[in-house]
Amino acid sequence: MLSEQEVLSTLEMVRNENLDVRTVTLGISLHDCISDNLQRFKDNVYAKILRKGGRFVSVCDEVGRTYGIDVVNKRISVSPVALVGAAFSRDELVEVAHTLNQAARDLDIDFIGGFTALVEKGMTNSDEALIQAIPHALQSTERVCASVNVASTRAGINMDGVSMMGRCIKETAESSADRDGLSCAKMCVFANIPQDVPFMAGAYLGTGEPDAVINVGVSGPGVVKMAVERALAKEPQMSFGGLSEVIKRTAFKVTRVGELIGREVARDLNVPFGIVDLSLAPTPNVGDSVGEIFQSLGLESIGVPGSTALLALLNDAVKKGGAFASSHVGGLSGSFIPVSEDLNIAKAAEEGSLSLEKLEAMTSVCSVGLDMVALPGDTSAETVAAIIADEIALGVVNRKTTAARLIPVPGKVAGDRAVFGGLLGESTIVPVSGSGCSEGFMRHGGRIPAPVQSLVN
Amino acid sequence: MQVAVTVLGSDRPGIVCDVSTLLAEAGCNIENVSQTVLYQEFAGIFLVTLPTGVDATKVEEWLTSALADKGLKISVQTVAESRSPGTSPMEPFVVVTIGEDKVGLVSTVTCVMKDYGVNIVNMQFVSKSASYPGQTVAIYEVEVPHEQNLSEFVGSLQTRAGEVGLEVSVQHKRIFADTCRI
Repeated sequence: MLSEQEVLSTLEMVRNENLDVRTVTLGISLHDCISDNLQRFKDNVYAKILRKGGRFVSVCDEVGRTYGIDVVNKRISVSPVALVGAAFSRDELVEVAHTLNQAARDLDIDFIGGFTALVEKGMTNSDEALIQAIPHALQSTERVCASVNVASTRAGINMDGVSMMGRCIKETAESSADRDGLSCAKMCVFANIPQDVPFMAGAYLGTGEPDAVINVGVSGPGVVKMAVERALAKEPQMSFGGLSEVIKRTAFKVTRVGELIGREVARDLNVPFGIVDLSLAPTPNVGDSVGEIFQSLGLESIGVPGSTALLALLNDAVKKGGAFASSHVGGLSGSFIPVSEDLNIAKAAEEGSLSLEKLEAMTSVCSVGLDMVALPGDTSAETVAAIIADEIALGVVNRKTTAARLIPVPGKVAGDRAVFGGLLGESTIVPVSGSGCSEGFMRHGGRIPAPVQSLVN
Repeated sequence: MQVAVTVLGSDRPGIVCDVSTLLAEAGCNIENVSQTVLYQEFAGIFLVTLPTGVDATKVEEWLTSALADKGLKISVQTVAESRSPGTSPMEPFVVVTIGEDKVGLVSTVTCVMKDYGVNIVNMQFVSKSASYPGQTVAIYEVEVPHEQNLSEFVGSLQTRAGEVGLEVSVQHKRIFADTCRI
C-alpha cells in the first residue's frame, strides 16, 4: 500500500511544481543511409527516420498519459551529417537539412538535431562544407538544429574552427535579422560534446551508439525550488550540507521519473534505452526557473557574489542525486543557465546583476555554458569567436563540456530587447566589454594544444 | 477449506491476540491477515485454513460466542476458488480526488470505476493535508483491466468527478513506487 506522503508528494511535483519530462529524444543512426548520390541519400534518410520514428510521438503521449507526466518535447537526433553526408557540397548539405526538416514535420517532432560536425582536431572538406551550409540551412528550416564540436581535452582547441564558427554565427544571425537572429538559437558550439545529449540544440547521435536509442531529458527547477523552500520554512538556518541533501534527494525523484518514462517509451518502441540527462533546464514559465532557486537560497539575484559557489553546490547535488537514481546518467546532466529561457535569469541580465563575465565564470561549474546569450548586433566575428574560445578553454582545461549558444542580434545594441518567442524566451542584450579588441589574437590559426590533463593513460 | 474471518469492533490492544489464540486452539492456520483502524474502529480480515471436519458455520458460531464479551462482531465466509488463468490481467493505477467534502463523492467516483470493471484494492482519505487545506483528498489504489481503454476511463472519471466538484488524477502506480522508494 502506498503511503499518503508518497502519493501526495509525487502528485505535488507534477501539479504544482512544474515537474515534467522536458524531452524524450529518439536517436537514429544514419550510417546505413550513406550514399554518394544525393537523391538516394535523402531518400534513405527520410525513409529511415520515418520508419524508426513513425510511432514515436504517439507512444510518448500514451506513456505520458499513463503516468500522468507531460512529455513536453519529442525530438530526434541523428548521426553527424558532416560524417554521413561526407560526399556532399555545401549546397547539397542544405538540401539534406531540408530532408531532415521535412521528416521532422511529418513526424510532428519539435526539433531534429545532428546537423553536426566534429572538428576538434581538424577539418575535413565535408566538415567545412557543413559549417558553410549552416546559415542557409538554419534560415530555410524551422526544426533543424546544428552543432559543431571545436575542441576536446584530448585534442586541444581547433582555433581555425573557432574562427570559422564566429563568422558562421554572424552570418546566421544576419540571415534571420527579421527575427532578432533567431536562427542562432538553433546552433551550439561545443567543447567535449557528449554524444547522447537529448537537449537541443546540441543533440546528435554519436558513433558507437546503437542503431536507434531513447535518451531522456528531465527537468524540474520548480521542484527543487519548492523542496528548498519547504526545508527552509522548517529550518531557516539550514546549513549548506543540509541544503545539498535536500536538493540531492529531490534530484533523485526527478531522475527516477525521467528514467521510468524513458524506459517505457523504449520498451514500447522496441529500442534500447540510452541515458537520462538530469539537467535542471528552465523555461520562461513562472515557477520553472533556475534563477529562482538562487533567490530561495539567499542571493538577491543570480549573478551577484556567491552565485558561482551556489551553482557549484546545485550542480553537484543534482548529479549526486541523479547518479544514485539511475545507472545510466549521461548527456549534460547538471544545471543550465540559459539567459533568455529563464525569466529570472533574463531579469538579472536586464538589471545588470548578471554580466557576460560572470556568466562565463559560472559556466566553469555548471553543465553547459554561455547559453542563449543575446549580444549587440555589431559584435565582430572575431570577438564572437574570442568569446567562444574563452568558453571552450574552460571546458578543455577542466575536462568538462562547455558550449556557446550566442546570438548577435542584428540592428540592436546593449540594453535593447531580443525576442525569440516560445520556449526560447526573450532577454536584454548584454554588453561585451573589450569588443573589437581580440582581432589580432584570433588571426593566429591552428590548434591550441591539448592540456597536460589529457595525458591520463 | 479456506475461510475469511472478518472481525469488527472498537479498537484496543489485544484484538489480534484474542482472535488468533482462539483460532490456534481450534487447529485453524492463519494464512494471511489484513487489518486497519479508522477513527478507533478496528476491522480485520483473517484468511484461515480450517482443519478437516470443521466448517465455516461452526467456526462463526464458536468465535462469536467466545468473543461476545469483548465487543467484537464476527463473520466467517468460505473463500472463493482462486481466479482461473482466463481472468484478464490488470494494471495497477492510483486515482486521487481532491475537493470539498460533501455527500456522494465516494459513490460518484467508485460507480464510474465499477462501470469500467476497475477494482479498488486500497483506499484512504486524507482530511487534513498540508498541501490541500480545507479539502478532502481520497487516494484509491485500483486495478484496471488491461484491455480497458484508459483514456476513456479517465475521461469519464474526470467528467463525473467534475460534476461534483472534484479534481481527479489517474497515474500508473509505478511512478509513485519508483519516485519514492529505493
